[in-house]
Amino acid sequence: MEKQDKFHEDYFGSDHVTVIVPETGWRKLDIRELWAYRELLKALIVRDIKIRYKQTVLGVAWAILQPVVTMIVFTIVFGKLAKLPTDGYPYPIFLYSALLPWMFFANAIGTAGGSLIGSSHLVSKVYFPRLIIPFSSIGSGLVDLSISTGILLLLMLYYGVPLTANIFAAPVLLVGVIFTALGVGTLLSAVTVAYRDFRFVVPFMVQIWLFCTPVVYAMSLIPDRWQWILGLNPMAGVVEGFRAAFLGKPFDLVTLTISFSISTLIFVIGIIYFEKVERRFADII
Amino acid sequence: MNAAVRVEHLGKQYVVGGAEQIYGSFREMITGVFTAPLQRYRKLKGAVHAKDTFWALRNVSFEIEPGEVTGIIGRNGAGKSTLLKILSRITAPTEGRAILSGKVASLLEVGTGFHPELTGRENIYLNGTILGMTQKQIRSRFDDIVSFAEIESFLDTPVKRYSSGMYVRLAFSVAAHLDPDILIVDEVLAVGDAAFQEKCLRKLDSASKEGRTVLFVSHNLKMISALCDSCIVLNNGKVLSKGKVSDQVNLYLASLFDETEVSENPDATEEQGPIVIDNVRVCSTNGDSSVIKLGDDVSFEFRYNADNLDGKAISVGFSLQDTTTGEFVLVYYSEFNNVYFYDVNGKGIVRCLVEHLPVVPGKYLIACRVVADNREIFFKENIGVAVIRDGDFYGTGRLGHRAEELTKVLVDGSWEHLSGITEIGDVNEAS
Repeated sequence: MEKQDKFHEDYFGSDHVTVIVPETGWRKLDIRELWAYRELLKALIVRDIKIRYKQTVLGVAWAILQPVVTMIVFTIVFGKLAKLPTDGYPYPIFLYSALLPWMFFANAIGTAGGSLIGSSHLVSKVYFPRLIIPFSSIGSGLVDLSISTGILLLLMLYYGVPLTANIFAAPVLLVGVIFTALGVGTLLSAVTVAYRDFRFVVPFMVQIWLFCTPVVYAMSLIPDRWQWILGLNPMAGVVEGFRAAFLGKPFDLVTLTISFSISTLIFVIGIIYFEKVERRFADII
Repeated sequence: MNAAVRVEHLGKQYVVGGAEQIYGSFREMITGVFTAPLQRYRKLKGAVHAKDTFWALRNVSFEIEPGEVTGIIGRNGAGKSTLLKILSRITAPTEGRAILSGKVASLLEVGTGFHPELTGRENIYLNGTILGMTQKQIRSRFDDIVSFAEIESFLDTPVKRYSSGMYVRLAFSVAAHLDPDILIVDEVLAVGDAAFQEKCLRKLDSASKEGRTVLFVSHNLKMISALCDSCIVLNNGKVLSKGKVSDQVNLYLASLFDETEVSENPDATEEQGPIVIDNVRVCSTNGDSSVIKLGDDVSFEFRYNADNLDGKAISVGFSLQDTTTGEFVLVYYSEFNNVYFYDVNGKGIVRCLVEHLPVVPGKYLIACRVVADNREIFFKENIGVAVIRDGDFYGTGRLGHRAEELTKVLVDGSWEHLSGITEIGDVNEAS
């Protein structure tokens, strides 16, 4: 506790000296400052969650309905009509275990993309590390994710698919998804401030991205020697990884490694770009 | 001792016309890749005039000692807000630097980050965190914040149900309990009722007595005079002068009259709305029309130039600002009389006839505003000057000379003696 306050003191204490100088190209990410502002991150996440469930009439029901309806429609189209192979699992579970990280990701980059524009009243009136905004916007999606994870466990019970030790990999994979979502979301939020009409590009991008990711189909549908290309899509490895974690399939470590590396790269690029344009936000928002 | 705030050659440049190069759209960026060489060619030929950049602030330097309360005054567009935005780290300067020693809290707006759906309690925590307090600090000051704002019984009501007064009280209260070393305050006290304003001023005053440095921007010169030790006058993005508050306020008032100094207000050029009022004439309808006397019937004529109003109902209003104190003595909109103008187009005049002018002798600046759909579509300060001379307001010659020493405005009523009634409450029944 004492130590935590020290960080805050460094940035908010009486000994702090603020030096304001013109922006000069690349800026180094001030991780200590970000840490000093972590309470703000928490407060904004809590705000988003509260508002999300206060405002919508359906509230929690919405968090259940969205993935379940998607699952039913996809099951009918891809499972029953197109009869896509599922490595022997019932299609609803096969799909849902992948839909879980995908829907979190799709929602996260959607909200993060518009987050800076949506917070223009904050950006133009008070200083804090702007990175907090896209980061916090992803938080409320985690609540939805845990609700839909509950549904998956119920489904598995219904279809009699047992949990295996693989499930312990889920938290690691979740970190991977969050990481990717933060990277892409941060990048999109900064680009959307500079180019307003970019927000029309995002839904389209998400749609294409969905079909480049083994959500409705299995990775095994792709010939072995080409699978690594799919791995270049950072969501491919993670989504297939989630499926393996819940359904007890073996992990594809090669694809996972490629995906994680790409995620890291996107994350770094996202942060660097964001930091570069951060100081201009208030002028152009 | 080191200065609490040191500003060295600070400057901020904005792009006025070529703005689309910054804002832009993704589509333009894509097409820009193809058209850029052509544009560059045209620019070389001088066909496209690269629209100017403009300095909102230039070469601004000053120092503020710890514990000093400094006011910043200047016309609209003088650079006050830009300066505060830079000192609050919302926008980066283009040149120069500023050094602030100690914990800084800036209050550019009351209630930043308040969310209407959240309760008073939730908003205290949210707003406090946004302003830089830790949960622990907020918790320990929570009761003070609530009692200062006087909203005890509405703590768990969403703030969207608050009256605007309650909202402002709560918002200011959170900010007032920040305990910073340096407090930067923009025109935030303009809202709220007089009693609460008074309370806020006392809070600011006690903050300065505790050795806090305060930087305070306001249009209310009376507030500035009451609160500040020293004052900085900004004009056209430069420091006109800095010094003792009383001298500076007089200097500023004098500069308002300097007709030669046309302020290069960026807002005014950018916000060239659907209507512009470019001239005002004030004249008396009694006797000599060029001399306006207290008690005269006075005509205020506003010349407008309008297009694209699309038959919108507009309300025209004006105010008179006393040039010796900076106080507004009169605000009058046509909508107060439920009068709206519908068919305003092209050039024309809107006239307001004020019978029996109740404003005491003095020199007044006229500001003018046009409102449509509850939104301001035109505003200009200092559009003209009204000089009011002494006159016989009551027509009795019984008001001692120099009404301006007694009051700001006069009223005319009737007086009678209700003989035989001894209790105040009985008056209505008797009449």
